[in-house]
Amino acid sequence: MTIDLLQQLFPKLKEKKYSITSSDDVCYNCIAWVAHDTSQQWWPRSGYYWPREPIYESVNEFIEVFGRMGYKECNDGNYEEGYEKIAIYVLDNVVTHMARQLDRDTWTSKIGDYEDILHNLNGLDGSEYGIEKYFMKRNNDT
Amino acid sequence: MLSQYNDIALLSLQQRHINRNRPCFSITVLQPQYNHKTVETHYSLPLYNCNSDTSERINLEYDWKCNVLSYFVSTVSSFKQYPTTDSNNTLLSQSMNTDYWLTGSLLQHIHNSIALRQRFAELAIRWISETAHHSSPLRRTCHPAYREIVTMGMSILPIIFNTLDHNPTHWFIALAEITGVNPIPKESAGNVAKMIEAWKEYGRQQGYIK
Repeated sequence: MTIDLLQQLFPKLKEKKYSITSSDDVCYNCIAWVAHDTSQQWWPRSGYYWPREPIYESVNEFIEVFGRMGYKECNDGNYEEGYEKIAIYVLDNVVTHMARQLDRDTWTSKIGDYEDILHNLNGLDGSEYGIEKYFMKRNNDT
Repeated sequence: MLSQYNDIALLSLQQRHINRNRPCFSITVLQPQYNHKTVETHYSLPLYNCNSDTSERINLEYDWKCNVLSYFVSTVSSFKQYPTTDSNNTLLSQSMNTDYWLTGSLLQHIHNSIALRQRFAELAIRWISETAHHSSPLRRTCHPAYREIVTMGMSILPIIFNTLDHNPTHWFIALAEITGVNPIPKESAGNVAKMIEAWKEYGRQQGYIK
């Protein structure tokens, strides 16, 4: 994925520092990346890996499954020492993307079939992924 | 000049004879892939005199190779101004500096096959460039280009199967929609390599992959 294409899709990236941190890889997607899994594509749909029998592709399905992995819903993406936070992006209240917090200002995302990137929380906001609306956190020791 | 998204491009071509009755073209082509890489492939393609009883034998067995030859023939025809049709419509193209001709029915088959491949390539490139940043299968597969590929039906299956190795991304849903089956074992769901293998095994069993 070229820088031009990345910035065209996500214009807000330009406002803060961001970087590409991997090569492209179709073996995993953004949900798998948030779950620390680079071996398979996750999605609550037939033909994709999902930790339980998927019911609907709803926000709640994502929240419930990540809840079983030790995450609890929280109010925002502000950094909290000792916790790993994740964000669920929605467009028209349909899940489009997930990202995982690395430190105070840095989040990591897998961009579809393309590369992993480091970005700030709002960097992917826009017409493609919508906005990060739901947040969850779990203890770093989990 | 090799265009990035040309379906195929001729790298070299050499005429040779296995024996007097079986002239062959030895062909090397470059197939540009969507991931900006190219695959180099070597073919030995037999050609038959159109007056021979064996001319139609090329047809089914050498489908993909015929695509290569047709690309070559059409290119050479335009550059060298060779005739592409005759009054009886039995002789549609003359290959370069040879006495061997392709029959009309064979060339029609080749042209139809190439038209399908070209349309698929156009749609696939558009679909990938506009959706590859999405992980959501819904967002990927509701794209108009993807829907048009699905509506091509069974005729597009050999081309999709041929694409799986080089560009595996998210063709599984199209394959399932077109064939009405899902050969992926539940435990392999999400594992792209295993999903490709499951579909390729199905493709081999059904004769879509030779």
